[in-house]
Amino acid sequence: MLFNSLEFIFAFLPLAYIVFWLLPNAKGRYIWLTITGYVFYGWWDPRFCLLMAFSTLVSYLAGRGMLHYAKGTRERKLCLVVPISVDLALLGFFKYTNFGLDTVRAVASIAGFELAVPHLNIILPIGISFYTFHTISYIVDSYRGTIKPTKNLWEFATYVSLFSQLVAGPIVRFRQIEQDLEAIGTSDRARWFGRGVSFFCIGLIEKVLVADTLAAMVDPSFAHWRELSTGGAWIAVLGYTFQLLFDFSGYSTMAVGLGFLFGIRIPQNFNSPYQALNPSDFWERWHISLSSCLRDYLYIPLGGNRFGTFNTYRNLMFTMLFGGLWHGASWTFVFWGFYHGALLCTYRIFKSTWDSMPRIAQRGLMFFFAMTGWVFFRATTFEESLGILHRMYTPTTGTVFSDTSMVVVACTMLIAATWSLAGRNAFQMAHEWTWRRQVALACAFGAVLALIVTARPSPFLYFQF
Amino acid sequence: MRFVVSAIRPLALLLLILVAVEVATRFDDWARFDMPFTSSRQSIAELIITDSVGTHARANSQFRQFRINALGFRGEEIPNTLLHHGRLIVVSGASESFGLYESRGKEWPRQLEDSLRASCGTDIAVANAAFAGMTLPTVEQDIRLRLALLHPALIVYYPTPMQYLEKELPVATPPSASAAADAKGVRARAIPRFRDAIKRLTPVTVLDLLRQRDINASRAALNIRGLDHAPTARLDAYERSLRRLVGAIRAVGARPALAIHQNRFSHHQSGAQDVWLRAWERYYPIYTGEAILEFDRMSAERTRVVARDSSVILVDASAALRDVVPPPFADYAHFDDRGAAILAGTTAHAVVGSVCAPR
Repeated sequence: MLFNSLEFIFAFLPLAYIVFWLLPNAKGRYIWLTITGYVFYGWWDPRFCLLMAFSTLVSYLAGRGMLHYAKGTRERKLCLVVPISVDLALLGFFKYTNFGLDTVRAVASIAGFELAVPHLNIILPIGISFYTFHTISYIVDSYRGTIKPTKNLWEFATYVSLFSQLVAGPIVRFRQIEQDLEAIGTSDRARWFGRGVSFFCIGLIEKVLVADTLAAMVDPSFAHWRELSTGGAWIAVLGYTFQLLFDFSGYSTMAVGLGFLFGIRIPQNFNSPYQALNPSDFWERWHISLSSCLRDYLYIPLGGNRFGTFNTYRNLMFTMLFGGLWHGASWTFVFWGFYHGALLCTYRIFKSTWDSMPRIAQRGLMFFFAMTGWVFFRATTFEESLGILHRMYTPTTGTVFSDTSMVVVACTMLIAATWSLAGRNAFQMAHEWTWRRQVALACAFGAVLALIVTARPSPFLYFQF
Repeated sequence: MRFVVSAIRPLALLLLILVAVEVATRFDDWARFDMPFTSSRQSIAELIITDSVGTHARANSQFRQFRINALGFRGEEIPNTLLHHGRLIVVSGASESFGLYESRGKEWPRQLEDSLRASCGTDIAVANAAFAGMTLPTVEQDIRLRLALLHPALIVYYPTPMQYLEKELPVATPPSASAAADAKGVRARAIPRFRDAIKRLTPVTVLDLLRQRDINASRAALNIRGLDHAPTARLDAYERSLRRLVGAIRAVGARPALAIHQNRFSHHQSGAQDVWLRAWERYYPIYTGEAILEFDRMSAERTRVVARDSSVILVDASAALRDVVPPPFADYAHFDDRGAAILAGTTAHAVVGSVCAPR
């Protein structure tokens, strides 16, 4: 089920909301949120629920174990290692098995051997990368003593299966919503309602009106990249740059809005990333929940910047390579991670020079670097990535593709560019329930509704990760 | 006063949402299909007209992706040079040929044009004269009164024999001196979108139950149980009409080609087939699904007989459609893009000899 589907907006959400607020106590609300989370998740394939339930149970028991065993004991370490190994093994099997097998086959082929390595018929459970990070962060934080593991199984199950952030993030850490989860039985419905609706509608606008309109040009352009002209390649890549932001940011904004509706404050995931001044700033604004997880659970444990220049660069590169691989089981994603790792290292080397440039130049350059990186992120092969880049920088005749009017695409690009480069994001907007705001949201909601009834809702780009 | 304002506000917002839905619907139709913003058409049924040359698609009309050109054919305009100096092929029939579920430009007559142009040159135009619900006698009349004026080289007819299972035998709608005026006034174009969405979101089992209820109600009204055999008299009537059609095509100086009607049940058996068969049965409630399938099989045989007797080109895509998985149909008998491509390819193969031959 998708946030931008009719069944979600007119059936699932109203039912989940009404029943939630009719329930008188925390236990009932935990159970109800867990049930809604599993129904939401099982909508794609009910079998996936078993996997999530297993992962939830293992992590919960590990948390209970950490409460039981004293710091420094072997048992406590086992409570850290075993569940993380289980989580990573599941993630590795479902997401990376075929990637590994294909790589072995390709390497053997290059070496002159023909290995009969099979391609397994594995279905990737949607959102597994996200809820695996939820559970791992919970276990690590429990082990470190950053949080006190919960004894309440339903509270923990609510945290893992909370439908607002289940399948495409933000990667919410337990400590970030622990307070709201604890107070779930006494939360104030009226306090957050307007804010929740406002955030949800803004997210819908970002996804349906901006991202999906651009997708009507981007998708056919990348599908026929060999026929793109130079201008067509630039338009397609620029379009994807905005599509990806508004698609993912739209999802995160909707998730925040849904969180508010249920009295849970989900943290900001995008802070106008195309207004970033440098690579380091970019990663503090783009997919904040992932980059902060990578920083806290990988970069800093690796040593961070504490052991000299070489080790800092090594840690940066390793973290970004892992980040790339987290996004998808493909070498293009690994390269994209490498590319951003290289950007971060280069920035550290030339920091003073970069920072002395005018702000507009810094911002423009960072936008250009991010846009170039998205070519590897979007393309399915290196041939496609390099082919598109070649078309962008070598005058090539061809065409530009679009399933919708180019006038509409151009207007949407202009809106997307203005909004992302100079506008305010949902967290910077005022969410007072004024008459003017109600009128604006009513018009936007009507427009969104007209578009989502037309066809099957388009999935969010980050679902594939 | 405060009470009145607080009561009116939600209503005003609701009204605003509805207006926004309608405006966005029109804007979206314009952006995606180039449909005029001010058009009030709500369905393809509003694209048909009965005038002095009989019943056919209304020239220069459009509903979503269904666009009728100035000559009353589905698709883009046919350049004058092609009309006067090229080779014109006409495809006629009902909804299967008009194209209901294919992507824009993927209905089989359009794909036939692409194939023939690739094989025979670019001076070929395929006119899609089919329209949803066009009966065989109406097609014959259309050929005599309208299509004859264009002097087509070849007319391909894709039949819908099940029309002969209607309560009454199909007859041509007589030409009318005064054509009905185009729909005027402002009507909500968002309504059909929501209707379609509700249908799409309704679970298959519920739709199936509703169809079964409709079938039972129709049979109860006629005080019958579903007949389980194809009526021979109706097959004879179909064959007679087909022979008249071949005669009409020849009379206007064109070569006839007859296609065999295809359905998803011929080659594919699966659990979902019953649901699709019930959807088909709903249109002919007098007969059971088995009787409809039997009638389709037997009418295909009659089409072959007519083609053989009259030395007419026969287009039979049965072999090409066999074993395509999943079935290349969007419902019981309408093609998806793949099915349309297969039929277009088979037709091109069957007619290429006579179309490409030097004139």
